[in-house]
Amino acid sequence: MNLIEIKDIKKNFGSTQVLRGINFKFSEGEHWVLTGSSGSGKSTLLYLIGGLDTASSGKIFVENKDLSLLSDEVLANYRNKFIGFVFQFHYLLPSMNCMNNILLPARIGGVVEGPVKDHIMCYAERLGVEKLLTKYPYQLSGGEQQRINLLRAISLRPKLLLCDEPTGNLDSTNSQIVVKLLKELSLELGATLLIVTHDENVAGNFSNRIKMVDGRLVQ
Amino acid sequence: MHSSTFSILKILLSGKNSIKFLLGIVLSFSFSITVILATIGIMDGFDVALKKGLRKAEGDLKIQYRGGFFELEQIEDKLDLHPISEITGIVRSEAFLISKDRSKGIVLRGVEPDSFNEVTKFKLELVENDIVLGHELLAELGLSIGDEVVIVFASGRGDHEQLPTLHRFKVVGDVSHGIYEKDLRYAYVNLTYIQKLFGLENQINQILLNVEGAQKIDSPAVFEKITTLGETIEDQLNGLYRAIPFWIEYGGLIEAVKVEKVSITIVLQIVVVVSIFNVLAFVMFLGETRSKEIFLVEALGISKKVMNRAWVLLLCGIWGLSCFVSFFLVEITDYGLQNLSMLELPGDVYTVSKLALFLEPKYYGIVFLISLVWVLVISAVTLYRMSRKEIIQGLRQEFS
Repeated sequence: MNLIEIKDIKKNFGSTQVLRGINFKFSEGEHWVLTGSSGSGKSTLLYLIGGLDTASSGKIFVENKDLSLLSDEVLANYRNKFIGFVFQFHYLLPSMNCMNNILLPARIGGVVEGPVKDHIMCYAERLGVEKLLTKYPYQLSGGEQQRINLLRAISLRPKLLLCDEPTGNLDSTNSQIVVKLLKELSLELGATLLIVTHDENVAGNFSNRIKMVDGRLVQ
Repeated sequence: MHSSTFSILKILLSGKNSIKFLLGIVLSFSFSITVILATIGIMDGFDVALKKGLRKAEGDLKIQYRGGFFELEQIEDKLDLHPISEITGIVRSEAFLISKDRSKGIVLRGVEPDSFNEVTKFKLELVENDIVLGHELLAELGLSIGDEVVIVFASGRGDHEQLPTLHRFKVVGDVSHGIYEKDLRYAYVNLTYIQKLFGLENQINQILLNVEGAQKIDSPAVFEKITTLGETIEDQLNGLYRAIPFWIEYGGLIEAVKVEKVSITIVLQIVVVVSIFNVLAFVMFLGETRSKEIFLVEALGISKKVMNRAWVLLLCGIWGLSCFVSFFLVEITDYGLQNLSMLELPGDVYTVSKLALFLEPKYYGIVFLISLVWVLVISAVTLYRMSRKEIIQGLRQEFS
């Protein structure tokens, strides 16, 4: 069964056409990387799949359900439980320590925290950030922040991990570590992985690759 | 409350600055509500104090013969037909009071103490040439209990009718009507004694009476009852007597206060609007300082509906808390008005010198409701502002 099916998606920002009719589908458990130069529309596509933005036309089906027909609340629940976002700029709240940042999806989703914490602690040890959980984001390095970001994304065991330039702010060593972790974690959780990147080194780690040029998929 | 709504409220109100700001907003909003409530309370309190004072001095209804003096027995059988609980006849006259080197025009009332006390709830004890003075009159003339005064009546009798008559009285007490003018002008003497002085035998020129079941001072039904009874009595006595309800003496002032209450309440909405701007400032403060949090929690799975609910709850919470605090501020104002000398009114200007707030529950309801409307307007503006931005736009803007 297709996990995601994208049908003739177009997105305009004013008179600028960012996506010019995208058709694509991928199945559960697959790992995909979406490459393209800056401004090609790859992040826009990612956020449309993630329900953070709405398409100008076309349809996105998630497990055969049309995203555009979901109510605001169901869409919010989809973002909360189905999707795990790994953002380029981490988007960690400076007013909260790392643990509270990681627990944010559980709290806003009304999920019992105990099991989520156990799950987080288990992965925190694997990522080597268990001692950083009481610290605030500004006390961490870029690589550490990205690992906290990753922990937050997997905290509710999502079915789909959407990563927007997850290595964008990291050096090559840290980039490789993060990519390796993403692959391992998604495998362990059985999650589908979609990474958006312009870094060919990162893209080289994946066999399923698509490229976007001027709002169109070219391969 | 839904746990996610609670989480958002916790995020919005995290940090000392937000809490301090919130407390300031609640105080300023509750103060504005209190200003309106206290103003209405003072207006109604003035109205009630004035009516209480008038009723204390006049009973419910005053009946006077258009031809001057009369005997109570002349109309007693007709008055017996009506629901009258207490009745007394008095002689009312104007005179001059001379004391040491000072004199003052007064209203002298000859009263039969027992029946007069029943009608008015005064506790006068008057025999022979005793005189009880209004509280302010006693103070203004610098008199004390036991002092002697001379009352000068307009004209003498018989051969001396062109000359005033002078009579000596002994001050045995003072009374407070709660109305400054009456305290400054009224004096009471024994009815039998004054009738003897005037050669009136049993004649009087006024009747004061109370209407059965008309105890509540602020009930429109009571006013209606007294008015109707007065009209009935006038009709029954063929228009020869005038029946005057107790509030008529200050009817113009009471009406003016009523009109002023409405207009001031409308004008004071400005105070609420100013504090609403404070609430708006608080909302903007939260919107600015918590915008990262707001967009991030939306991205991580908070629906617009839950977000809106959190904002409305927050604003309604501010409103509810402000109403609660204003309730206590009104009580404190009331206590201050009754107990602090600095808040006493100058009686010569305001007729009554002491006020207590008088607030019917409906006024709390109206004022709270109006302030809620303002809060809902602010909520609508806030929600509109919040809904204008896409989540991803907000995230990029706030975290860039």
